[in-house]
Amino acid sequence: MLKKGLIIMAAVLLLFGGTVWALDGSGPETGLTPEDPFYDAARAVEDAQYELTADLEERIMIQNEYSERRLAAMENAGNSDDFNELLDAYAEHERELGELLEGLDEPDFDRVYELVIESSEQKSVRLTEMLEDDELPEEAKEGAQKALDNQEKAMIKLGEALDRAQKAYEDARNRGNQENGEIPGLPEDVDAGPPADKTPGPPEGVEQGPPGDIIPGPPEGIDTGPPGNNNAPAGGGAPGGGGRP
Amino acid sequence: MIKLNFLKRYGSLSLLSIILIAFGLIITSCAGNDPAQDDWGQRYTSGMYEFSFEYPQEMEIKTEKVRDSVVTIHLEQTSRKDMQLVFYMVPEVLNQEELASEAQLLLNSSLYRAWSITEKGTEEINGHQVTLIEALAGEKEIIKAGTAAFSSGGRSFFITVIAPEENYEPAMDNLYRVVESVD
Repeated sequence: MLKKGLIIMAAVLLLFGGTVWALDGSGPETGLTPEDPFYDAARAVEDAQYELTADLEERIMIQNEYSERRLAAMENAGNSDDFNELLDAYAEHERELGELLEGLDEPDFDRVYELVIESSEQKSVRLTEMLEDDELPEEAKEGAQKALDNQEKAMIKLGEALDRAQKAYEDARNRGNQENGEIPGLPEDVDAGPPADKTPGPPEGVEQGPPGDIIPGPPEGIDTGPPGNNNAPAGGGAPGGGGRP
Repeated sequence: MIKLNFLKRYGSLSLLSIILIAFGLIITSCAGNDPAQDDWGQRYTSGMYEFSFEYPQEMEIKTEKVRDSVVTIHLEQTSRKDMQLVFYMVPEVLNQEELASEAQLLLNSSLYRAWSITEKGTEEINGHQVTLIEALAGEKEIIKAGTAAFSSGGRSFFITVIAPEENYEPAMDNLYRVVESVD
């Protein structure tokens, strides 16, 4: 019986042997540098995917991830030309990201802000580390310093936007509670009841969170990765990062 | 009586011809809507690396880069923004295994959340032994990408088509036709 089972399992493995599950949606953790022959082609496919994506939240996540890839590549750039090219690409992703975030004003998007802020903090740390690297040429350091300054400005803007989003969310929730309170005969304890469903929840399609996680929670709740997608920034980040503002 | 016979005979014939003409018109209009049958008048020709390929009239070159003997051409649809194509050429011959692994590397390092990458085997197209790789990417909106990789004339070509899931089949038809047209 055991032998039969093993044979079936081996047959199934052979049958699906051609399937490769991507270990990480972001590709090589080091990020492709311009000297990599695939760099331009990979960037072109990145552009294509971004332009074919219509959902705003997903577009934000894509830009955030692409900027992280460029940053990772900057850390591994072999020369200052490559470094500067990556820095330009990084700045472009950050600019695009900022524009996209300005379009986000739905109350239940505050978790997206939190995730991006957390990622921004990590980027600032990495840029600071680059500046402290003695081997980095002076010209590249100037670029990195500029990127760091922009990063800090962006974080302040993001913090303000998050406050606005949270306030909008609180207002929406208060309005919802008031409306529920006006319904005659509605029980006071409605935590688990239908009214809770009226509370703005996570955007559609982010069903991967715990089943009861209807009210937007800490960033961990948006861990969306399918099996194998263990990319740190998009997959929920560091476990302890959820408590940040 | 004679008149009735005449009408019967020639009336049914003309009715038959009307039906046939209408049927012909329907077939012609359906064929016109098929993306694979669209006008393919445009051809890209690389003077420096001596290769060319044909692409649909409704696509245009968005970016073209030449670096270290490597050519990358990014094309996108002009009317509908629901299909894009990336043509990539390296000046070296790669075997089937290398083609497959490079194509996977390309997709895995380009797609945001490449959930799965599948090797679909090889197919002979226009005399080329073509390795096909497919990938699914995205979170809410699923994007599909397919790469055809083959070596020909001392070079290797990687042709990637990328489209929303619902538009993937016509996009793949275009991919096959681009592969067939590579000289």
